[in-house]
Amino acid sequence: MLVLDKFGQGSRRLQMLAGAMALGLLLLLGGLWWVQIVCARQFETDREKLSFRHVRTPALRGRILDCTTNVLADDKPRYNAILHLEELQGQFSDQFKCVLKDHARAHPEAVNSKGKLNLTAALRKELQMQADCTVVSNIIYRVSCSLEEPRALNAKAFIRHYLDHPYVPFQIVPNLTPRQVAILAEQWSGSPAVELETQPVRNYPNKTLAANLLGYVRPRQDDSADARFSFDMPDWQGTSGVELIYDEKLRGQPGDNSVLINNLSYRQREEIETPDLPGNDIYLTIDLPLQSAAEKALTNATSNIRGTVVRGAVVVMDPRNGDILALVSAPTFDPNIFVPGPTRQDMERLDDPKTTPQINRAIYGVYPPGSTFKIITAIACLETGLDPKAIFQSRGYYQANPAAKPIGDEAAAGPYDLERAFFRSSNTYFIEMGKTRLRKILEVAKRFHLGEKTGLSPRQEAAGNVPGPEKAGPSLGMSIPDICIGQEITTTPLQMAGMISVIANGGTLYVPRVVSYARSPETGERVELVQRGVVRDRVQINPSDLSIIRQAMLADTEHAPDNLGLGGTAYPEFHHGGQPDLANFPVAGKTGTAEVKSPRSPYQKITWFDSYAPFDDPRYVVVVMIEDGASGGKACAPVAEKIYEAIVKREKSGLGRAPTLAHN
Amino acid sequence: MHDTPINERKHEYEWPLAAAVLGLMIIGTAFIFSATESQSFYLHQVLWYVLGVGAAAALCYFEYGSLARWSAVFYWGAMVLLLAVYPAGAAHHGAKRWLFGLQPSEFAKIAFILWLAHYLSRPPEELRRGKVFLGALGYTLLPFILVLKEPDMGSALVFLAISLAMMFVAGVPNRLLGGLVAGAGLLVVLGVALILFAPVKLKILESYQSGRVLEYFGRRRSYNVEQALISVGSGGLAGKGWRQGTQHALGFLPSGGAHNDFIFSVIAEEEGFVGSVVILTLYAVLLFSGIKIASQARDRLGQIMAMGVVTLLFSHVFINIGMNIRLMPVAGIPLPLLSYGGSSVICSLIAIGILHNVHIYRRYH
Repeated sequence: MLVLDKFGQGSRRLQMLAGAMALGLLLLLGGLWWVQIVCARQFETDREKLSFRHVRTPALRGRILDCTTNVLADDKPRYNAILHLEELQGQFSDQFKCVLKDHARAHPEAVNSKGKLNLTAALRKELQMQADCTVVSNIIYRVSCSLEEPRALNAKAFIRHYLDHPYVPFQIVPNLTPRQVAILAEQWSGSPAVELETQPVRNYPNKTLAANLLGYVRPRQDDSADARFSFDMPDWQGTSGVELIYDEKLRGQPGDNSVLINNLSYRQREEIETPDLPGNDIYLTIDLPLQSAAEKALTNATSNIRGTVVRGAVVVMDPRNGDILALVSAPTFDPNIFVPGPTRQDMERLDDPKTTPQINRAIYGVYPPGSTFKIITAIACLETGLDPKAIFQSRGYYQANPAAKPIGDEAAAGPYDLERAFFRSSNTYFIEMGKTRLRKILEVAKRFHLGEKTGLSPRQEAAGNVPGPEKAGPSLGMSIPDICIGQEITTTPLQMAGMISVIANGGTLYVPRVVSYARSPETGERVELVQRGVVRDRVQINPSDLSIIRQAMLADTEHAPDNLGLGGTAYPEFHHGGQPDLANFPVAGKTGTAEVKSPRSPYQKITWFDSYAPFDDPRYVVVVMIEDGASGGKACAPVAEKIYEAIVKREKSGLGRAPTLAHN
Repeated sequence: MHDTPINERKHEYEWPLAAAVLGLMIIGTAFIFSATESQSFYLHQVLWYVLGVGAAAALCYFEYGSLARWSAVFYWGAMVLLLAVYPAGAAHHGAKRWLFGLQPSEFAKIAFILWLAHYLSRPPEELRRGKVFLGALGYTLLPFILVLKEPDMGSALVFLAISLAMMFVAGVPNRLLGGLVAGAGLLVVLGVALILFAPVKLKILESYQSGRVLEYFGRRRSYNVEQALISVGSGGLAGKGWRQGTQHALGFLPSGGAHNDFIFSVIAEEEGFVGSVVILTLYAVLLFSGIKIASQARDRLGQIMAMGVVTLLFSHVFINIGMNIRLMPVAGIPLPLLSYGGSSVICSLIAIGILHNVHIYRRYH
């Protein structure tokens, strides 16, 4: 620094300036260290937030299959024409220039001396939007015309989409036909802005089959979406039935597409950050051919009902484990209509209060069991010392006192023992025998868990109304004779199937099961959803009483008319031309016809046929319920008979249920 | 040792200076290429470099003493050009800074340095006189006000900084300089306070200028500064790699600014803290070589002139990089040799040429 000395004060001042500049550079260095090292992570996060958008991509919804892997619900592709907005940037700005020119021509006062247009920011934005709408509108018109389906732009929807998510393609023509797909590929493949998009949509290949059980899906609307995502691709949400209850399993895990955007939010690049995980397939215990046969049998039973549309339900159950092989409710609906969205007519039909096609009558409909409840009354009587062989002289009607209105009886006046009273379904007999045993009847009904939910479906199941034995007394508020013959109390067809199963298997009430397991399509891993044959309760019945009931039920279909022409109430429907329709497949059953007196009720009669077969080795319980049938024997027994015919046919072809091994 | 004549011209380069300049020019080309997605800007920049180096070389044929003798012409010529900006200049983002594609304010800075060096190189005793001091102050305030009204607050402040440093080196007494600094400081504080706390429409500064002050003090969000900060900060230690930066590629950095006033944030994003340190080191070499040249100058004229140039370069570097990390308010000050632009590049190289001029006519031992 000798050099500096010569300048005296000057060199000292030079040193001070050098020091100041060194300090300045160090300050910059410190600032850079702070920004680039200390806060680097924060700024990197800011940058990510700035330039990435996360799009939620729904996973492929799992299928629903029956017990032999027949498909009940799956997905099919839907083709949409979409528009990539980032490809239109050039056209947008060209059009904007034109719009500006037009604006200048229309508003010469807004042009300043240098020929420049003075615009407020808001007006500028509006003109820009106008230009963008024009471009998109033209493209939509041209594309849709070439697809022979001319469409106009929904400007409102477009602007909302464009302002919020310009990085997501805009749908211009949804749901293309194969012909339109071909046209698009041929005529628009050269245009980078127009593209074909494939979107999976729910498909029910068997249309109305098991619709009440399967339920349906609608476009997802829940707002539980992750805040991470700035856009949700359309997705489906189970709204009823299996689709609703196992929605989470079926839906799988949505994926995360991260889209790199520029400062105008246009898409630059897109990559899959997390791939979606397809939903699980759900396997049901339903047997599709049997379900189909049961549906056909029920809906075709129009000859012995009031009205033209059959309203009823069928439950086919395996009494050995509670598996449901068919669950039918009529009338029903086609769940496919919910994919594009139901039309007004569809909605009217779905919401018809008379036919209520959306109600699953088999599990959600509550009905008086009518004479089928005589099984309970009979057990109660037997357990309280009734001699089944004792003869009772029926007058052909029941009258509590001379002033009361008599209860009619289909069974004619005459002598009745228990079996005869059962297969002739004598009201008088069962009222006379049962009216003093009310507490016992309600106790037996409780043992069979009538009037209680079975636990089949966590939602959409009804309990019905059967008072407990503790209610027996003056405060019951029901007519005791009516209870003896299954009126006023209510159960569901599913509960009746459980009751018949107990009779058939000798005392075990199973938790009914319609869903067996879920299977991952990726790994093939199976997860049991509902265990087979879970015992709900052991129902205590005397074996001798049980055998009396079974014989009486068999007589209902097998007891040929005696000399008075009086046989089992269901005999005619199982013996056409004097010959059994089902050789070597004896069916035990009970008919029922309940009268409903309430004026507000949509029906006046509920008819039943509850049965199991084959008699010696019960493998099937079939419960048929029809609203406003002529009678249980005339309306319901033929339906059951047709279902058994289908069962026999399937067993003969080796596809049905295997007979139980001896001593099993 | 004193047998060489004092006026002899020695063709010697200050090698660290030359290396730093070359390094900055190479980096400038590379990152203008990166920031403009390989449009032809980088070729123009190379052309400016060539022209600038040529101009600097030409300048070295005249001894700086003779340049100083012509400095009055340069100074008044520059003032005329600054005035000409008002009727004839082209407005750019609301500011009139351009004349025939050039920025007169850049050239005015060079002319101002030459003229003020000439003015202040009189015997130190004269500088104690108030009249001389007021003269220097007047020659500073003229371009200061003209540039401020363009409006270009950044460049106006650069004039002030250069003037202060040159007077300080020339030996203007501390009491006068102290008074000047105190006065200027008071004015700035008052101005900022007015903008921050009195939103009365007192038209001291253009609205965009007061806006930048508000942004600087965090009273208003500034899109550009936020984007520049994100750009610099997300570079981290090592950066994302050349041409891998996203902030400019996706258009978040102001378009037309990424290769220009915001070139530093592009470099910082792509090369990280390491790159920033390299840039700062190159500028440090440039600046301290300049101070060394000033200290070795043959006479007071050379010393003052060299320090004027060093202050010019330093204030540009400090304001520009400071703006990228929110240390300084946004001001349209280019980064010497790195920012794209003819005026800036040529003037920076001419300024470095003056330094070299002082160097080759230095004293010998």
